[in-house]
Amino acid sequence: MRKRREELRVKREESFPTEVVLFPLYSTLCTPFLIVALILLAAGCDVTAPDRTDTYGFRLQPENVVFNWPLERRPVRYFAQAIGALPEYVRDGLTIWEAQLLYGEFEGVLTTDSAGADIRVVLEGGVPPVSPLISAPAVQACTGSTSATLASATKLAGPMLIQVRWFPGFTPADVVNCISRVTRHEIGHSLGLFQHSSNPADLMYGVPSVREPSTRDRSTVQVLYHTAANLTPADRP
Amino acid sequence: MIGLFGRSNSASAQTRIAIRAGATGSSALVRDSIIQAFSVRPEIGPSIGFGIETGLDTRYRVGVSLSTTWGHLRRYEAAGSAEVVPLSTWTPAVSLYRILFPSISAGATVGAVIYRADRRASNLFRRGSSPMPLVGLGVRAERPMTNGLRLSLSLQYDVHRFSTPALADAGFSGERPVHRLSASVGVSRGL
Repeated sequence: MRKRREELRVKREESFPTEVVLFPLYSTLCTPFLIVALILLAAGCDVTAPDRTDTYGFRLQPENVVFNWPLERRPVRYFAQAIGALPEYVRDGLTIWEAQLLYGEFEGVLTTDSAGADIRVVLEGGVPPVSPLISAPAVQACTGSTSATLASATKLAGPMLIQVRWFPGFTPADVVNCISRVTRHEIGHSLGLFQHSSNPADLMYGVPSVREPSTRDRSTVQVLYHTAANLTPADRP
Repeated sequence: MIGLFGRSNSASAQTRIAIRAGATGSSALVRDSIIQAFSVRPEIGPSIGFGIETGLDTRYRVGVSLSTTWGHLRRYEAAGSAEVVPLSTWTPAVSLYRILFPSISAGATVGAVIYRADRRASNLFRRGSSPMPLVGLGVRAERPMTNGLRLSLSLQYDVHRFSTPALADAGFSGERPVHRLSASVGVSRGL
C-alpha cells in the first residue's frame, strides 16, 4: 500500500515538473493582469478643466491696456516697509496669489533692497497695534491704493507703489485684519488686476471683506496671465 | 511577484545587477485652455536606472529596478513654451522578462511613478503628489562583453494616470493617462 502511494506521488511529480508548472503560471498571472492594467491606465478619460467664464474686468481704464508681469521678470521683487507685520502680510499675499496660478505664470519675492524693487509696499498711520489675525467680520479700519506712473502708452515709468493706511479708533484685531486683507487686495492690483470686482464675495471687490481669493478672482487672474499684455513694466535699475 | 522570487533559488547564479542610462519622453500631464489651448509636459530628459534581476528558469527573468529622470516641466502653446518648474521622477518597478531569442527579450513592468517638483506656490505640484501606479512593456537586446559583462539596449513604454491635489483644487476632475517612452543603454554583471 505504502509502495503504491509512493509510486503515485512520484508519478504526480513527474507529470507536473516545475518547468511545466511555472510557464503557465507566469503567463496566466501576468498576461491578463497586464492587459487589463494597460487598458485601465491608458484608456482615455474625461478630464474636465475648470470653467473660467465667470470673470471680471482687469484692463487699465481708460487706456484699456493689459498688464501682467512677463515671465522673464520672475520673480517679481516686492519691498515691504519693516513696520509691524507688514512684510509678513506681503509674503502671505504673494503666496495666496501665486497659488491661484497653476503653471508658474507668476512668482513674487520679498526683497530688502527698496531701490531694486518692482513694487514698494508702505504702511501709513504709524506703527500698528499688535494682534494676531482672527476670524471676525471685516471692519474697514484701513484703506489702500496701488499706483504706477505711465512712461508711455505701453510702458510703466517706475516701480508700483502700494500704500496701506490704518485708522485709529478700532480694536487691534480689526486693524491688523484690515491691513492683512487690504494688502492682499492691493497685491492683486499689482499683479495686473487693475479693476474691481462687483461681487462682495471677491477679494478684488472695491471694499474687500474677504481674505481669500474667490473662484472668480482665480479665474480672472488666470485669464489675465494668459492674455497678451500691451503694457510693460519699467526696466529695473 | 514575491511568490515568483521564492521559486528562483536554483537560479541564483543567474542574478545580475545592471545600470542603465538613456532618455525619457512623456506625453502631456495636463491639457488646458485659457484664452488659447496649451499643454504641459516634461521635456525629454536624461534618465539613469539601477536594477537587479534573476533568472526564474531558462526563459524568464524577474527584476526590480529604480530609475530616475529629470528636466523641466514646460508649458507649450502656439506662441512658444515656458518653464513651469524643474521636475524629476522616480520609478521603482518590478519587471518580468521572457527571452524570445538568445539576445532579445521582451517583458512587462509594474511599478509606480513618483513626481518630485519644486513646491513653489505657483505650480501644479505645490501640494505635492502621490505615487501613481504604472504598467509598461519593454524590449531589450543584450550582447555579451568581456569579464562576464553584458551590454544591453532597452526600449521601454509605460503608462500611468496623472493628477495632483493642486489640479483638483483648481477645479480639474479626472486623471489623464500619461504615456512615457524611454530608450537606454546599460551594462549588467553577474553576481
